[in-house]
Amino acid sequence: MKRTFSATAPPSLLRFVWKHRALYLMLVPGVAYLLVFKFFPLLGSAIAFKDYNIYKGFWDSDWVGTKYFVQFFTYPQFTRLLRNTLVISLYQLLFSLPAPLILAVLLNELRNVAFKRSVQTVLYLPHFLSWVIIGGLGYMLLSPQTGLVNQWITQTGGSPIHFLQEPGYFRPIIVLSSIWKDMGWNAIIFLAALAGISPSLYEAAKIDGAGRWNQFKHITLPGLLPVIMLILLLKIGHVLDLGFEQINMFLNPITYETGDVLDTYSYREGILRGKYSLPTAIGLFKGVVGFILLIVANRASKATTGQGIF
Amino acid sequence: MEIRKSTGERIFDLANIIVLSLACLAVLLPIVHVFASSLSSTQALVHAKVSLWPVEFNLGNYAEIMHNDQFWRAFGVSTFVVVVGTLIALTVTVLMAYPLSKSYLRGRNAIMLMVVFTMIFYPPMIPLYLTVKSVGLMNTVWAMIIPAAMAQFNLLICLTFFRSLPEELYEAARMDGMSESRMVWRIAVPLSKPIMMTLGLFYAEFFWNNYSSSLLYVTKTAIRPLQLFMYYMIAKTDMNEMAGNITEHASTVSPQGLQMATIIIATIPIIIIYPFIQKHFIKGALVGSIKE
Amino acid sequence: MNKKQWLSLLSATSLVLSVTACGNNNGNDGAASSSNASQPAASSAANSPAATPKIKLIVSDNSVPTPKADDLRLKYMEEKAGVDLDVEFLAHGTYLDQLKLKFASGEFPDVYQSWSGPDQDLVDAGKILPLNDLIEQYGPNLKKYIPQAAWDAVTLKGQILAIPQPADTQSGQVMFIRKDWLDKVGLPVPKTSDELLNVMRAFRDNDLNGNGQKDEIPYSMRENITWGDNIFGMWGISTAWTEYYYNNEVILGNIHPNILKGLEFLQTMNKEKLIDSEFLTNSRTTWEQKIKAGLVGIWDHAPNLVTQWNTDLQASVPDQKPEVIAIPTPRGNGYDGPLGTRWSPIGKTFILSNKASNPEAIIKYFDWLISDEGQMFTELGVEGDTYFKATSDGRITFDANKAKEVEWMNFSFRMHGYNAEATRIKLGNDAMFEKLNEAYTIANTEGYVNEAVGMPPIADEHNMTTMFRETAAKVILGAPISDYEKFMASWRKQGGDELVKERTDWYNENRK
Repeated sequence: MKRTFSATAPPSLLRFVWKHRALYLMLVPGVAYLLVFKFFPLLGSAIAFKDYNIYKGFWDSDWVGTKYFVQFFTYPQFTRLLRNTLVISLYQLLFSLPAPLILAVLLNELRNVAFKRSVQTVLYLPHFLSWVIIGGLGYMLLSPQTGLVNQWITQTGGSPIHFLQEPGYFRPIIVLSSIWKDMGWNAIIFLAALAGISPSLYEAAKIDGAGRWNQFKHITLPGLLPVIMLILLLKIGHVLDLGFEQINMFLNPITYETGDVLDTYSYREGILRGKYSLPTAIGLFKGVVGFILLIVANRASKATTGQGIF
Repeated sequence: MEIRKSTGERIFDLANIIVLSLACLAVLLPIVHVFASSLSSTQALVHAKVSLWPVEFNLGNYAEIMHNDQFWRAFGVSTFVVVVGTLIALTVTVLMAYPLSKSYLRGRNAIMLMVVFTMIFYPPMIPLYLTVKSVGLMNTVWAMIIPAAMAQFNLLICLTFFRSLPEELYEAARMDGMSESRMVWRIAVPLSKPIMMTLGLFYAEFFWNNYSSSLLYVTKTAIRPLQLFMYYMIAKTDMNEMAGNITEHASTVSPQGLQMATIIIATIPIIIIYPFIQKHFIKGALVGSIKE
Repeated sequence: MNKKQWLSLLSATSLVLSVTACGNNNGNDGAASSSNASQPAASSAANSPAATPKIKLIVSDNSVPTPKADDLRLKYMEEKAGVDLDVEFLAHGTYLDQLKLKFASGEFPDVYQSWSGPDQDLVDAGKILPLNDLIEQYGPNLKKYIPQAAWDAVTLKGQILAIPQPADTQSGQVMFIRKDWLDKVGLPVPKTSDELLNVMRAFRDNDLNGNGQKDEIPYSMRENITWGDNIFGMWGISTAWTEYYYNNEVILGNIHPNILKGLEFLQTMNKEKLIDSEFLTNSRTTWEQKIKAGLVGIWDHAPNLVTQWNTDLQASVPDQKPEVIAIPTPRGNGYDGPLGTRWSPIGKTFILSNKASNPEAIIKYFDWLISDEGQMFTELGVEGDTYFKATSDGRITFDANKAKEVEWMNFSFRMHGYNAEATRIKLGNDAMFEKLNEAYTIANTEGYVNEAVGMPPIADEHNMTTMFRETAAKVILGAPISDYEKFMASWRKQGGDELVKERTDWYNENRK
């Protein structure tokens, strides 16, 4: 929505800035913060290209070009790492992303306010548990020796399943535990969005005879669309960035097949051995891929839904 | 005028209640277990006897954490960080989101690019440490606040909501002579109450639970935040076990029990504050605005 | 755009910010326990113009409470060694990271603690002080009490780069067994791998915890194939960070032919359900819990923990009348080399900076710490405060209630290895002491050299850790042994050969 000035050419950049100096001034704290604490240290990522000797300091460490990228790309199971990362990410997009949305919508449909509030409060609690504890809880459920699920299985005549040791169960466990932990907390943002939809819209629709389903389709969903697209786009940008702590908690050598991802590899071969350049190289790789995908997705989103980050 | 519910809608409502109740159960049971574990004795935990009720009930784990001057001090530090941090963060976020929500702002895309770029490429540990150090924040409370002064995700959320506010609102105010900065606080913010509450909650939760900033930037025990204090407490009990030292409270205090207790303690303030925020998640916060 | 210009621009801005920010300046980045005991120098030197040498020291707090600045023990140390100590304790959990960060920002103390020789990067940058001459001149006790193996571990190209604390025991892992279970099934301590199998079978089948269920776990280990090294050790192999000189090559234990025997044995154990079915997922907590719950018959752990295990089990399953002892690693079938786990000769190390102002005083300080007097001090504290000598027979008793107050000394300042006498006094329980002594003897007699000790760290292991864990796990769970052999060959082909050549060359130049 452009403001109109004179009917002739648009003002020069300087005049524009001056005219709207209030707005630009408001940007200063945030931009300064990003420059100092996010942008500037990023330059330090160049250590991925150096045999970083922190005692010689940044400028004097030797340049080794792409050595660390090579080590990473020539790992025989590199494609597996990539595949696992992408597949798990995809599962998260398909299941863990919609879950809080659906939850928010369901909560919104509740009539009884007290019930609604208590359900909401209960459901966000797991967000505060650490993955270590959740791993412990998972063990309590799934252990072949003492796990509740296996006890139930043996009581009904089956033989225990080694859930935590079967590659086939790994990804579902990750997705389900993600949903369990964060569904309630992530729903909060959608609830806030729902609260922002003007009730007069609903009233008008009711008067026109629209049922709840139609109200949902034509008012609720469009009202939520900006937030949904924002979160979706950001998730796409972070496609290679899985929750390291979570995966590491459940990962073990037998499940590397389906579960070893870029971050766990990077931790094992890089951080645990005190080698910082490898993780940085991997981080850069993840970033580049994610960024490109984000730009593409943003274009697609703008074209189809009209929503985009830029 | 009341419109009668169809049978379909009635079934839906019932199913909704059932599904949500089941979800609650699935969440509540493990949490109750965690709570019960924190109140059980070490032997009960060793023999895995605890299910939903404490076994050999005792407050040992909590006493270990709270009967400690440092605990209250750390609590105070955390409270300060949360309150001040949230205020600062919200202000910075709102101030940055408002101009960016104006589609006519020149240079907007460049700035958005930078925001998203820094979200996807995050700075590595050593350069970040050196930056924080060179700005003079080492070992101060501010080290836990300033480097986290704005979360890009929250900025984007705020901005998305500001964008949905129609420009006509501002037009009217502008014609009345209101300045741009006034409009932020008089128009944009009040109309986005649910989002402000949510972002406030997100920031508060972040500052309360965060200990990675203090892990590296704070060595003075006097300004340790609560999470860091509890983290060290667990490490200490762990170490005692590994070193073969028998502590006097070994029968009531265990690393496992402590871990559970720390989580409960960390969660309680949020549980207390949340209902106040919930009030704003009612439909119709956008009262008295435009007519469609 | 010139990076250096950007840097100076930003630095200028930062300077402005830091002047106005309520920041802390450099100098003593306050660790709460910075002990600047700036009392006047020890009485004898009160009037001497030469000030007491100041030493800035960084150590890990080892997760135990640290002393206040005026702690009498700190003062005692300073007096006895004639130095003025400025000690900074850093949190154990992030110790190495914090250290790196301090170095990266230019803060370098006179001496700092680590757990190995200095980082190669530091050495290359010329920041480390070689100690050969200083030790010759000022460190008679150091020479007396620190064995050659420990010195070798911190020597590079003939230069001693750190003061090593000798480890309590040569090898760090021994096999523990429930002696009470062994007695119940009437079997002797197993001496061969076959006998071990029999013992494990007996443990599996005889309901030794008396609860009517067949839930005993004859042998347990932890995730990522750790804490099981005494099984591989029956054929002389350790699976992590260990290298051997074999067939004129320096190779990792993971590709030594003897590892196949260990894998086969574990495979058998798995087939016969003699090993914990969850060994691949056992976290430390879960594993400990199972043992404490009285379910496990045999496991590997550090020798000094034998007393802790006994105490723990007596508290958790008293009716089983549990007794835990360490046993020598049994001999593997068809093998006649050294048994057990690799030797790690050092505990912690202290490294001096090239810029230290009083290196002689520092060496003398550590020399005192390892002297007889110093040993008593770091183990027991100050006489009259934490321990007492009976005037009648000179018998020493230690006040166990004050143990917590002197923990930090043991962890952070003890420079010696195993001092039997002091340990006996501290334990105050002769039966326990016997068990400990036994365990230590075993750990000191078995085991073998790890060539990797003292060598520069491996830069690129060609993903050995990842690939070993995965292949070994599959084989133990039932995949054919030939799979592992194939892995050994393909690892070598895909770059492992280069690593082997690199290490062998270094060995030939420096060790032959």
